[in-house]
Amino acid sequence: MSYTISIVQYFELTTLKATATSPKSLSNLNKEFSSNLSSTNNVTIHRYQNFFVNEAKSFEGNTYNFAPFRSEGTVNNLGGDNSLFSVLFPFNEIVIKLVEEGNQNRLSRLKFTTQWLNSNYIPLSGKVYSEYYVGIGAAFSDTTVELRFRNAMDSVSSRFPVRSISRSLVGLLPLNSTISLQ
Amino acid sequence: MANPFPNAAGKPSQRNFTFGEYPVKIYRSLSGQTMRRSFGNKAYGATLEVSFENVSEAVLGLIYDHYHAVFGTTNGFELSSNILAGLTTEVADKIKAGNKNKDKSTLWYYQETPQVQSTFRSLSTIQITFVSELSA
Repeated sequence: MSYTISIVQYFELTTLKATATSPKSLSNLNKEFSSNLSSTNNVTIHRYQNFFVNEAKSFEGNTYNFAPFRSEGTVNNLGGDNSLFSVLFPFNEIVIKLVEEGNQNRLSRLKFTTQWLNSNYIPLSGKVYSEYYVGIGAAFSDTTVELRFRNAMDSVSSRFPVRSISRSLVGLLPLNSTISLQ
Repeated sequence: MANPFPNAAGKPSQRNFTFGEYPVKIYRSLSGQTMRRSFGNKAYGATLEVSFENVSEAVLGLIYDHYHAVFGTTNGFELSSNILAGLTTEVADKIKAGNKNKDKSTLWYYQETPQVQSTFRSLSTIQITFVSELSA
């Protein structure tokens, strides 16, 4: 049996414009991240979706305009840190604004949501997954701009809560094999 | 849209139209099963090949000027009515708009440089391929 999946991705980037009086790190941005963040000075929220061409879609009470971006994978490790993620935009006005307002995408926070659609492109209930990242910069080429992020959890291994191996964590233990933590 | 294809160039002698395609990637497993992932809800890349046979230098000049007015393959434009002559308005409007809703979400571009063959004194045969792309 063959099957088809349709996925819309919602890109919500919160940028903190760097000024002489604004903080030089994300610490204040994280503290201020709340429902009324958009009213905060120097903070802008950009919302885009990448499936419905030239359409504005409402999602979780907000409007997402179309932007032709694509996401590129992430690499996870046991420590939970240094998970890298990038969003690729064609070189257009939208992405220049994103980069400039976020201080070269170093003062930004991303909520990236994936939503599954049915064959008529109607959202499937319960098929919504969100991930959070913080900006670490941007890369430019002739035709594209790549916004780079790392995961919001910036763990330091020595301080990261220790997990002990148990049957509930790894399932049935094999007699001889490698163990993959889940 | 500025610089539509000149209607005065007349009706083409031949025309081939290929439907646009939707952005889908297909993964085929070793078992033969496929998984299709859809990336968008609009078709793109329809092509229209037209041929103007034994036309005058006036027509050649119009097409030449239009090609340079849109900077070759750089800028998009609307097709003329004569390009789709022979089709009903209903179908022609869909093709010109690039979709069944006729919402003009696409523009047409020169896919490549038009080819001109001189057939007789002051008469030429011009072959053009247009391609539709989603507009911003």
